[in-house]
Amino acid sequence: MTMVASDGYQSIDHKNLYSYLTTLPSSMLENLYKHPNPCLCMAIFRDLVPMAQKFVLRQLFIDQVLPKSALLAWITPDGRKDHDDAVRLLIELRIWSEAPSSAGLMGWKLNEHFRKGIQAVVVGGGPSWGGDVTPTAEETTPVDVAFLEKYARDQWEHVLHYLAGLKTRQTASHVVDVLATAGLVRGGNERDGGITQNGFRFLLMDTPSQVWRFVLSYLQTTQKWNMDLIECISFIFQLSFSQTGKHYSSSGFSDNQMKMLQHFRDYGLVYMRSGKRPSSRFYPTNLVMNLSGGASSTNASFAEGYIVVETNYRIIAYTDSPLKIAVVSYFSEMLYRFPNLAIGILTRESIRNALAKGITADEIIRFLRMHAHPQMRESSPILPSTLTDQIKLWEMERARFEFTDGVLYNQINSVKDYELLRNYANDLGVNVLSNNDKRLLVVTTEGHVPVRAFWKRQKKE
Amino acid sequence: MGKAKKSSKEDEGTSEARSSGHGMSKRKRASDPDVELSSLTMTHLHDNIQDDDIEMVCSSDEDDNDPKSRRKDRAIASTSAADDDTLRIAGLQTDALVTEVRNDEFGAKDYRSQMELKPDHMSRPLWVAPDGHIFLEAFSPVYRHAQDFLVAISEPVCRPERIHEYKLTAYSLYAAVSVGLQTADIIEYLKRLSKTNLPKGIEEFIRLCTISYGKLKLVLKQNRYFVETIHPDVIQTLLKDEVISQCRLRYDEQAPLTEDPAGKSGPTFAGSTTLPNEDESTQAEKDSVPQDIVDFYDKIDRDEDDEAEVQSKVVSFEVKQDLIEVLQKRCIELEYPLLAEYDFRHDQHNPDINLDLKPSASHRPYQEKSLRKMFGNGRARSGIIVLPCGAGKTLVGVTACCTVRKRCLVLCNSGVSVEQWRSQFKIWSTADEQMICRFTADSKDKPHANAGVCITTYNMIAHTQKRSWEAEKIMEWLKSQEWGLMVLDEVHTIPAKMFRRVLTIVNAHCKLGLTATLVREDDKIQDLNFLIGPKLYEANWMELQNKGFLARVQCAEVWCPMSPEFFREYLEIKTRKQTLLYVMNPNKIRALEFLVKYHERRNDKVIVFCDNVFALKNIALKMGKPYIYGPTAQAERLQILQNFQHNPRLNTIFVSKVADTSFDLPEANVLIQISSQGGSRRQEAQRLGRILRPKKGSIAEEYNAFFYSLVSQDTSEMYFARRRQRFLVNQGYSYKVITRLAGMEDETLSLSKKEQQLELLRIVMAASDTDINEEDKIVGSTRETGGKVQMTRKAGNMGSFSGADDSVYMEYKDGKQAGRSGRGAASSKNENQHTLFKKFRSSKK
Repeated sequence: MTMVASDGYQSIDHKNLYSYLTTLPSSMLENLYKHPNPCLCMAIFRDLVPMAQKFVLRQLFIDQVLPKSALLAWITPDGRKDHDDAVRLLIELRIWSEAPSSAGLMGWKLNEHFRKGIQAVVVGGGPSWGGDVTPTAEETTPVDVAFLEKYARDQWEHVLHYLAGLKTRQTASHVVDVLATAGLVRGGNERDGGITQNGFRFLLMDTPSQVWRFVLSYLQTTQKWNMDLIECISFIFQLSFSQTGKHYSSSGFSDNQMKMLQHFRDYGLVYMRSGKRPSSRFYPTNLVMNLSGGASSTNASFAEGYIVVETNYRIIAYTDSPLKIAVVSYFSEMLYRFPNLAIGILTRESIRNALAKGITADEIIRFLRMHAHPQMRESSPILPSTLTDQIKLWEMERARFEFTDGVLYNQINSVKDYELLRNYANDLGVNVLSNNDKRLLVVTTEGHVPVRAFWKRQKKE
Repeated sequence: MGKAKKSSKEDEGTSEARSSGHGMSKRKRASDPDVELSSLTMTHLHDNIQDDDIEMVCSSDEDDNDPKSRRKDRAIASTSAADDDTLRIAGLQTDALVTEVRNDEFGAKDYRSQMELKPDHMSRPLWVAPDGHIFLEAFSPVYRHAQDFLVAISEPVCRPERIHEYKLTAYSLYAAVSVGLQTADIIEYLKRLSKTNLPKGIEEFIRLCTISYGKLKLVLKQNRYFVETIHPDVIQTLLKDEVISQCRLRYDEQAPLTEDPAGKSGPTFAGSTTLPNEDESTQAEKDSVPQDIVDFYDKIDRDEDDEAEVQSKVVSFEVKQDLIEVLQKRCIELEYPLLAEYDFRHDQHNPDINLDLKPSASHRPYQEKSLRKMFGNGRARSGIIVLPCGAGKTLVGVTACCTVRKRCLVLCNSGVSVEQWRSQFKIWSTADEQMICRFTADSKDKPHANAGVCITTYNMIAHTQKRSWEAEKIMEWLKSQEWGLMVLDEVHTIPAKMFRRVLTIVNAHCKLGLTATLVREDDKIQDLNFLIGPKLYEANWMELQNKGFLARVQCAEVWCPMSPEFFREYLEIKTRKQTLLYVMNPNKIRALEFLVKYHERRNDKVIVFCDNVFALKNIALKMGKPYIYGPTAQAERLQILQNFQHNPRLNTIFVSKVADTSFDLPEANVLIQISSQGGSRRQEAQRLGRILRPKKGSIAEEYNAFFYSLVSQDTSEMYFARRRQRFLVNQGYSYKVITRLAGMEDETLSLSKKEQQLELLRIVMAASDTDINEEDKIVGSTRETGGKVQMTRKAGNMGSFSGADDSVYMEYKDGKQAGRSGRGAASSKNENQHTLFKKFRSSKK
């Protein structure tokens, strides 16, 4: 299931940086590589498959086209598939383009801007691209990593709260915009259209995937706000190369960058002290660190375990967070609510409700596994297999019909006509269904044309 | 009429949600959607099935018309009063446990406001919800302590791996008090174990339920009846009642209440060892347990064991023996039910029998625990012990007999089971042939002068028709005895009515009920509380399995798609023949064949269960395996069973539901169920019990026993299967759904051709209505009961030879099959039935 966003490219289902970038127009990519800050080149490079990395590195300081035949000589026969994948990847990212070599052979040419970017990273020099560590003014109250993590979690949960329809406090309008762009909530004027199918699925994801998707959607939304996409992307990647626990100075940032910083503060990606006069200091949190890796860099320890699932379909959530309980309640029937515990039960009905909302069985199972209570993690498999089987069976149960398009022929007057027609359909192998008593015949859509032609011929005779 | 009533009931529920009838359930239903918590996975299904437990149907008409039985009914007025009391207790519970429930935004009962988390909640294992449900963390360091305590005071609802649920009920609290727990202690301990403060309502409820229970005991000492208590004020109140003071036996008008130190004998029973203290906690464990819990646990533990010490001051008065019934009834009316205890050590009126456990008999920890509950204060308490099938209930029974050492009467529900009890007595105790007297239709041992143990069936005792001269003599002897202990095996199967009759015919000082499944789809379980006594102990299935006392069973539900032809007929037919169609589904038969072949190759012993007699016979004959069902004679049964146990060439037998209970087949390790009785949870559990005996030398494998339930997809069988599994699922078992049996394609199986399947369909369609019915036969009913109403039904099932089936099979087009259908069909039954009844049956789906 994919979402088509307003400006034509698909938004939240890109699992990683690569698949997102390939959707961008080639001129955009070119401009990204051109950006004075090489952090994006580095981010892309890190995200490449090992073999593609190798190719790029080998070509990095050779200023000529690499003949295809030379490339093939580098790999063993087993490596052929990897080779093909790597080449395809590099082409799609416009890092490589086809060009004739000096000897006239066709070969691969490395994108000049990309080459410069990576070279800058490797040999150093140029402007600082990892962001400024400003150890200048000593802090009065240092901000530690634990605090930042908590801050990030709280802010992020707040975003999710809005999504889950739990209105705890005022939500900034840009959050709503981004969520609507991502197709997680229904947009529109009233802005309270409620959560969509994708929204439910979104809530079941792990936090890094959520943040990643959210940021992609944010990038799309920036265009609505008339911000420069290139600037936004490179700023995000610049942030992702910073370190959590350290503070950076925002002095010298452009207006757009300042605006983004304010937004990111609301999402919990960065922390800034709130005070009377705007602080020029900001602290990136762990949420922003994960970004350059895309959703693929799932940090397992991030998901805290709080769910116990039993073989009798009980689901017990050790939590007092309304958000977590709300998510659990999407696919279970809640029975009890205690101060630090919520008890529910998975039933066929509740799972079917979830499936009807567009959540898949796999997503539910992944969610349960991801948030399994430490007690559950001791056993293997983590979730009782009967339970996972059953959830899948409930899903399969909904897909027992196979649909075949067809055309119905009925009210055939005589048995003879009917049999003629049926036999003809049988001969063609297009008979989907025939009922001799009622003289009904259904043929496939492809079969319809010849059968109709046959019937017309037949009628003339 | 009984059936109509049953099927109209919404759901069988936690038995008590319904027993509380008008009060609680109505109120609860209005406010919350989940009266029924134990139905777990099945909440989406509506209930329209009949869940009758018809194994022991007593003809009620017959009872009412029999003047003799009416007289008896009067004689046991007290027991019926107990029934009324059931309602009253339920009412009491309603009053106590109706708390304000607010539902939160997710539809759950929101108890946050009533429960305040303690700062050290991490180290405490319980949540006590204001509605009486208790949740226990099984991974808590205090788990063991808490579990013992909870089993004593509440009913287990479900006990899977990690979070267990219990429920406080009036009955469970009654049971708690009767084994010697004090109100204050219950509340205090619950408080300490709880992660939150104890909801107010719960505290009140416990007080209400326990304040008057268990305070009074009716003790038989040297054949004089005494009412005893350690609460002098209670007895004073009681004696102010006119009726009760009349019952009091006074030798001297001014006789004061007797005060005497009660018997201080320890909790010993035959074969009891000084317990190696299994509760010895490691130091590390102690550290993680809050100190107050440890302190209190020790106290509770001591209380249970040395209760005698606590009640050092006992006040009692003697009762006129002929007014015992009046007294009991009056006490129940006053809400001070009398607990019956039997001081067998001081009973000099009844001679001791020379019965001891052999030194070889050793008890498992849970058996000891259950016996300690029974003989906790040196006397024998009446009550029920719940142990899983195969966990050694018989040994508990035998031990109890050896402890009391008075004449013992053992009641079972089938002749086969009588034989098994007899052999168990011989294995575990010093009883010899002469001491054990069997009384069944087939074997009537003459009671020897020093016969100490009599084993018989419920039917034999409750039988109302004329008996043979020999049987009459034995009955007279049975009636004339004053039994020390009555052991009631598979106590869940007996309807209250038959039970009462049994209890009026034979007198026993102490009653011990044994069962594995204290659930019934109808609501008769609570009756047992008053007919026998409270539940003394209930074991945890999973725990026993993990410790190796039970086989590790892999439960599987095999989905067999209906063949198209069968499914078409299934959809078109609206009669009970539907049943036959899904039972005889060719894909199911093929799956069965495959599984049998597969397991026979592994040298497993396979039992195939099939409730439907028509299918049973057909399939068994087709596969060339012996089968046992209702009409199979006792001798033949024993022969088949013996062959199954010892003959390596006979590895598979087919049985109908007669084998559900008490067929002890230690060798069997594979069970395949192809048709079953509606949604009976109990039947499922009992059947599983057939393969639960621990298996030798197969520890290496993860599972050493297999339980398959073959289900035809898309039929009502699927729905029944779900319902049936609830009990076991709540015990922590899980069913694996198998949609495809690997390797089935490579096997040559019958019914592979369409023609063969159609032939089978013809046979099924030609079957008469009687074939469709499940076997309505009582387990092991004997020829003596032949005059009863059921037996006429049974005769019908034996097959008809009249050829009067024409009217039935004429409905089906294929007249050629007439001869075939006549074979297994029974029409005599239809003829014997009243037309109204016939109509009722056929209209009932």
